[in-house]
Amino acid sequence: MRTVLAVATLTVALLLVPLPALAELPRHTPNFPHGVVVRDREVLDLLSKLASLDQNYEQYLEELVERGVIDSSEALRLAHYDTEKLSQLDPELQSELARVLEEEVLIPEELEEIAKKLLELERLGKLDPHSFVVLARVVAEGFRRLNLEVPAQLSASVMRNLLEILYPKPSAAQSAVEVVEIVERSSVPSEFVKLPKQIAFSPPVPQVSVPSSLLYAISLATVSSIALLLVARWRALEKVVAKLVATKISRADVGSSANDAISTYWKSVELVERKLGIKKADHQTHREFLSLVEGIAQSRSGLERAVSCFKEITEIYEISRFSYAENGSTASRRAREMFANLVRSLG
Amino acid sequence: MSFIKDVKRVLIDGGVLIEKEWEVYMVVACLLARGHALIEGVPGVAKTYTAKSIARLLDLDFRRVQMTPDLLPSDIVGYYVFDQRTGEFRLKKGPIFTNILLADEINRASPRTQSALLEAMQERQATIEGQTFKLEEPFVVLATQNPIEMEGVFPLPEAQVDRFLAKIVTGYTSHRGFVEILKRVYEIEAAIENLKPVIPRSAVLEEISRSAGVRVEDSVLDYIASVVEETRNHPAVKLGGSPRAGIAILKLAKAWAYLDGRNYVIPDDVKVVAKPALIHRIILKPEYELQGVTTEKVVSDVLTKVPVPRP
Repeated sequence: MRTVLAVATLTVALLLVPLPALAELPRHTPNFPHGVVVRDREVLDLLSKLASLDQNYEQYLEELVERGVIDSSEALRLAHYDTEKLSQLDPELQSELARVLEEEVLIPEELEEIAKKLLELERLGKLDPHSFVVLARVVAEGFRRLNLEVPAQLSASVMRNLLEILYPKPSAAQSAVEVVEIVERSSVPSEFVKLPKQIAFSPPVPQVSVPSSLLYAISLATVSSIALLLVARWRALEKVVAKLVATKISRADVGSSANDAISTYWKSVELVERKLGIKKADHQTHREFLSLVEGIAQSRSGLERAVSCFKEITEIYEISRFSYAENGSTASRRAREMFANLVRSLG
Repeated sequence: MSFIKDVKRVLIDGGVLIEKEWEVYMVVACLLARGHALIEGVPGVAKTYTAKSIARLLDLDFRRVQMTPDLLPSDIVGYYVFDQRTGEFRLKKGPIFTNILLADEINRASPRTQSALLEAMQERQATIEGQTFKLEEPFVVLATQNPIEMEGVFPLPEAQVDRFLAKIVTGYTSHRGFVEILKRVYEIEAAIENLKPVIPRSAVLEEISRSAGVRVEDSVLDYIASVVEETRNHPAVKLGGSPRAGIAILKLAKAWAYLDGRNYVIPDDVKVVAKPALIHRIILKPEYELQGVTTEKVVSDVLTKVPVPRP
């Protein structure tokens, strides 16, 4: 019985509390950027496609312009190669990229070397995001011509630079949360996005406030009531259940055969075993078991009535089982009455 | 069956026999089951008093024979003597013609005398000079033997021991009981001499007849058979219980149930009488006997192994 109620409480707790709580919790987190997350999820998908640097690069740029994420001048900066800046920065790289642009046939090792140089410049902060994205696209074109895949590191760096272009100041705490949430909720593979460690690993702790909705309050109250009932009034609850069971037993139809008294005895034995934590051994007679129960009752208070009932059931069993008595229905009725009393007494 | 209450009231509650309730019940159970009992106990533990008291209370004739090596079968059964006045042989019945015979220290008698007695026990008749005499009912032999003395005794052969329905092992009283005996020693002796019957002899016969009618359910018979068979499987046992052992348990269990005021046998009756019915019939393997294993222990083992009838 205790197990059944415990399981029932757990089920209620699982059903009532977490679901509304989960539904309510985000809404009650102050300043949570729902709108931004939903909107930016689609934008991020588009950006991830852009970062793949494939042949539809220009088409993705147009879509971003259509969505209003970037304006046409920004799109222009992301589409064209500023050779002057690069020639000042690294003339050698500039000439190599020119070879790529002129569709000269390069060996893969040469292209990888160009990509490395480009990434190194980006890491040192010598290239602004726009220039890096455009130059990376040139290198990616070279890889594609050789039927090679664009290096993941290059795509990831492009993605990072694109994010820097769209979300230029991620240093504020709330912005950091936004970025983290955006990345987590998007379908962008994690290797594409490498946020600064400081932002990624130290997000601000969200301030969770107590939900005020009626549903959550009811759920909490229900579970608390059940828990209190189980802890404080367990015995009373058991009594109520036992009373219901006992009433059902006493109202049940009484059979005419002595077998009913015998089966009632064995039900009583099971009940006594369970409640007193003892076991009737196979070699133990019904009287020996009764003696055992009586012995336990002497050391525990409040079992007098139960023992009295069990004793009478045992006597009825003995007569029904071994004496060929002709009082089957009377014995059965009396045994059931006593069993009902036993259930009430033991709970 | 109310007579046992009277017996208990006079002998046990009245303080005539102190701490001998079990022995009294077993002797009466043997009487009801028409069997004989082998009482084992050291001298001075009220074996004779027990037998004598019961005989007096049940209005039965009581005789006591002190068995000695030179005792002849005729000393027990009886013999013909020539009457010089009439010129005829006159029958002199032996002490076996009684209701309760106490054969004290039966293992002191020669095997020949033992056999004569045991034959009378089995057949419930005595043959003197070719003439057979039926023994009067009820007829119970209570044979005692001293478990300590081993010199100058003729241990009963297994086949003859098997004829005793029960072996009643009696012992010393507790310290408190002993003090009680010392306090009331003269009173007890006088009380035994002045015991009055609580039931007429004819009623005793009726009680014996009624106790035979106690019902035994098939599952209880099965339980008895299982207990006896299990004694044969015990590792310490060389020779287990025979069918006669099972019959002894059945008879004693019926008598015990009757004494308890029931007309049906329950497994508890079987458990109560299993020891007295079995311990003298089981023969242990010598190696186990040397280790201190007893037949009581074997029967206890068996009773904690064989499941009682279920449901």
